[in-house]
Order: sequence, then structure tokens, then C-alpha cells
Amino acid sequence: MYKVIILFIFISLVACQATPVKNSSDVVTEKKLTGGLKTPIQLPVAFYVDKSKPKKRNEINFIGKLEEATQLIADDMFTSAEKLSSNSDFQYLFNLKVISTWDRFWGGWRSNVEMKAVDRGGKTIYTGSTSSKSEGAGLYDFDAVYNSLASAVKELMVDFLNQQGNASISEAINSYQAKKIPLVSFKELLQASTPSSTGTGFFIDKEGSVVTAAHVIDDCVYIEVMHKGNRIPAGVHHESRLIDLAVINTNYKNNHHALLRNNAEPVLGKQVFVASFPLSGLLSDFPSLTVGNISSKGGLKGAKGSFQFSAPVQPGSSGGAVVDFNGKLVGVVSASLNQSTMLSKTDVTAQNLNFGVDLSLLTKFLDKKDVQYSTVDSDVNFEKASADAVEYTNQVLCYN
Amino acid sequence: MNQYLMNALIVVTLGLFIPLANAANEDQPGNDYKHTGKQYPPVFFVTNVEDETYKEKLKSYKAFVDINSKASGHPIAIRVLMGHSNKQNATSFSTAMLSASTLGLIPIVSNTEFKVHYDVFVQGKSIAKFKYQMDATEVNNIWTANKYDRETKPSEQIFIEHTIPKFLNELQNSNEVQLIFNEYWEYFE
Repeated sequence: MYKVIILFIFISLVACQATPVKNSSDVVTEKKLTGGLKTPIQLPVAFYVDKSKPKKRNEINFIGKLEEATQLIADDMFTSAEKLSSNSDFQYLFNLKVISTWDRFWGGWRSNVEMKAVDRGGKTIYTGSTSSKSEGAGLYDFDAVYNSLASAVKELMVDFLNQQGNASISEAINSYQAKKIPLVSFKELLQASTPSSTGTGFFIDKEGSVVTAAHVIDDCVYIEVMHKGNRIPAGVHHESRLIDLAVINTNYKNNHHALLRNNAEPVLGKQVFVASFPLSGLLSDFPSLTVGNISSKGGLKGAKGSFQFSAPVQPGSSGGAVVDFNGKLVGVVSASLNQSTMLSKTDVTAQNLNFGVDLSLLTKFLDKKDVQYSTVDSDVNFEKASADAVEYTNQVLCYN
Repeated sequence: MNQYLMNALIVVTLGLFIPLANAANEDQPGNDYKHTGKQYPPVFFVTNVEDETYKEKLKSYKAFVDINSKASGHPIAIRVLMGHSNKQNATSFSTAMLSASTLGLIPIVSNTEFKVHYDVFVQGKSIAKFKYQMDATEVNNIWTANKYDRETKPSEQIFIEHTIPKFLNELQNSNEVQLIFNEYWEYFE
């Protein structure tokens, strides 16, 4: 009897809360590198974690933990590793997917990790899967989940490298250095036909530069600008998360672009309109135009370079141009007060309380990034101003 | 003889494990921090640490121009969350068994973790996280233990304050955070 108790105590000793592993070298795997392969492999890699929802109710997809674990392992195994973004350049792309379920009998999260490796030409060169378990961990012991995922990812990457072999890896290094194979289209890689989110942008010059809000293109792997029904590929040129502004580049030359006024301060009460593409999927692909006033020269408490306006905006309007009735840009749509939060906290809704980045901050950003824009002092009437705005306003499509 | 040996083994096993767990994780008082160079931008500050002395202590380092809990429009925000969790390990399991088998005569010895999380947000998106942890051993009676209404102990309160200089030091060494702070001053000097 005592022997059983002692055995039980010793078994239980193993069940301590996990500490997250900090070095890839501390992750022990069954498979070891063979064939003279030595890490770090002199190649850049990128990784992408599948974000689709699990099919069963008892399944969970630890996306964040898998990303962290992959970063840790790939950083150690290759010269550089990054989460796939619209600016990524890589020789291998690792497409990973995890499905985890809770072990009701023994406890711990049991995960099945799948990995597909694609070369820069878009050819699938490896598929593999492995299972791992956060042994003895509690339901909320996500550090243990992270450790088990790190182990699974390392196992798969070692397997991938072994399968490729030294000769193939050396060939890939030479090919990458010589830039022999052009990088595959990310849209093709994602095999996505519909964007995961949308926003609005507007041309700021004739060269195809589009201004939008930074949060519209946050975490996009592939960006398109939809102009008059045509989808144009775009890339992030400049971005500032801090002031929520971005400039994306397209190869579309458009004679219509937003015009700025010299020395423009937001004037309280000034009539403005917003041209944007709200509620994508629900409304048609035509831009909507709403009118209102500049209702305050300040935004939320503490915000700088922000102003309030009353022209109605909806999700999808972010990044749209706020234009006065004389056709001059006043600012960029950035946010709206969350109605449900207001309702839950104050029992009232906030009416037409929308925020924009003002012109002074926008011009500071454009000057700093050396983006050209035009300033004009002559005015046009409302009809001409709104017709122009429709010409230079685009929908921004984000795929991730 | 065998029975005595077994008893001794159990006591030694339990006795050894508890101090070992504590010794391994005992947290030392925080490092010192003195802010040099330009002050950091004003931040929106959110925390579940109710004691106001914590916020005053954070302010006393004069690292930030302002730490404001009402200015939600600041593009940079700092969130500090503290929380307790129980470790599911041999100590708690064994003593829970012993406690149950003696109808509560023997108390439950459990290892708890007290964690303080710092998050730095830019426009609502987390850009840096820092975590500090203190482990402790608690002795509770099976009948009187209250799991749901746990107050912060004085030792934990001291620990929270000790995390401030550690956080500020880590902040100083975080490239991503420093880039954002510098960018803020470029736009809003």
C-alpha cells in the first residue's frame, strides 16, 4: 500500500506547471539532423499559420502559440524567419496548422500539427504531421501547450531538412542567392478568393500611391486595391501604426487624386463628406458618400492630430477621405466610437461620433516618408468635389 | 522496520518537495531603475491593481510624461494585470488526499503563482509583453479555504511594486518599444 502511495507521489511530481522554453536548443526531438546538415541553414524562411476555425466544438486552434513556437524554432534553424507578410522574401514557406483537444482522462492538450513546405516558386516540397501533448498540464497551462507545439514544429522541421538532404539544400541556397526563381504570388499561395477584411483608400498622386488607415492593412499577407471593379495588386510602401496611417503602392496611374489645401486647419462646423466602401459583402461595390460636419477639433481624450466629424461611417470606411464641400482633403477616416461599448457602459448610444486623422498629421507623415502630394487653393463646387472623390476612392482588400 | 522506512520516505518526499519548489522560484527584490534621457510619451494606463500606491510608485520613476487612466485617446497604452493561479502538482495533490482522508485534520499545502503581466499597446495592438512571477506556498484548511475571494497579500503587494523597475529596465531594452516612443516624439514634439 505504501509503495503505491510513494509511486503516486513521484508520478505526481512530474506534473508541475510548465515554464515556457526560451531556446530552441532546449527543445528535445526524437529525430536528429542527418547527412551533415548544420543549422542555421543559410536561407530566409517565412511561416503562415492556418486561421480557419476547427470543425468540431471540442477542438481548438492555438494560432498564437503555434506562431510563437514556430518563430522560436525557425529562428534557430534558418538565418532568418518571419511571419508571412506582404513584404516577405523567402526560399521556403512553412504552412502550419494545429488542432488541439483536451484529454479528459489524463488531462493535458493533445495537438495534431500539420506542416506543408512550399518553395519560393510555389511548389509543395514537403508535407508532414505529428502529434504532441502538453503532458499533465492544466486546462489553462498555455505555456505547456507552447512547449509541446515547439517540440512538434522542431520535429517537423528536422524531418523536412532531412528529407531535402544536404545536396538539395545547397542547391536551394545557390538558387536563392542567384534569384533564379521569382517569388510566387501570395494570393496564389493563400488560395483565397475572398478578402478577409476590407477598408477604403484614396489616391494621393498620379503614380498610384494610395493613402489608407494602417489598421486596414494590418497583418495582410496580400493586398489589392479595387478601382472601378478592377483588382490591382498593392504593396505596403509606408506604414505608421502609431498614427494609424499607411501608403500602399499600386502600378495604376490615375489622373484623379485627392487635393490638399495649404495651411489647412480643421474648421469647426465645416461641412464635409466621406467617400468610402462600407459594409463590404452587404452593399454593392459602389462607393458611398455621406455628409456631415466637423464636430470637434479634438478626438478622444489624450489623442493628438485627431478630429471629430458627424458624416456617418461604418466598418469598411476606415482609410476613406474626409473632404470639404470645396473638394479639399480634410483628413482620413480612422475610427468610430463603439456603439455596443457605449451602450453597455452608459446606457446610451453615441450618435455620429467619428474620428479622423487631421491634415497636419497626414502631411507630416507624407513629408517624413517623402510621398508627393498636391496642394491647391482654388475651390470647386460640391458636385465636382464629390464626383472627383468617387474617381480617386478605392476599396482596399486584405487577405491573411 | 519497513513500515517506519516507508513513513519516513513519505515525509521526506513531501518535506523536500515544498522547500525545493519555493527555493527555485523565490523572487528577489526588483532591480533599481533611474530614468535617463528623454521622458517616454504619455500613456493610457489600465490595471486591475486597485492599490493607488502602485500607480504613484510607477509615476515616481518619472519615466513617462504622464500615466493617465482616463485618456483613452493616447495612441500608446500600458496594461498591467495581476492574477493568482494554483499549481497542480504533487504537493497539492498529496496533501489534498491526506486532508480528505483525515476529514480536514491535515491542511492542504498548495503552491500558488502570483503573476504580473505588463502589455504595451499601440493603437490597441500589443507590441510588447513582460511577465513577472512569484511562487508561494499556501496552507489552507479544507473547510475554510475560500478559492473565489482571494485578496492580495502584503508580500504580493511588495512584489507588484518590485516589478516596476524590472519592467522599466526591460522597456528601455526593447527596440520595438523604443522605436515607437521615438516616433511619437517625431510627430508630437
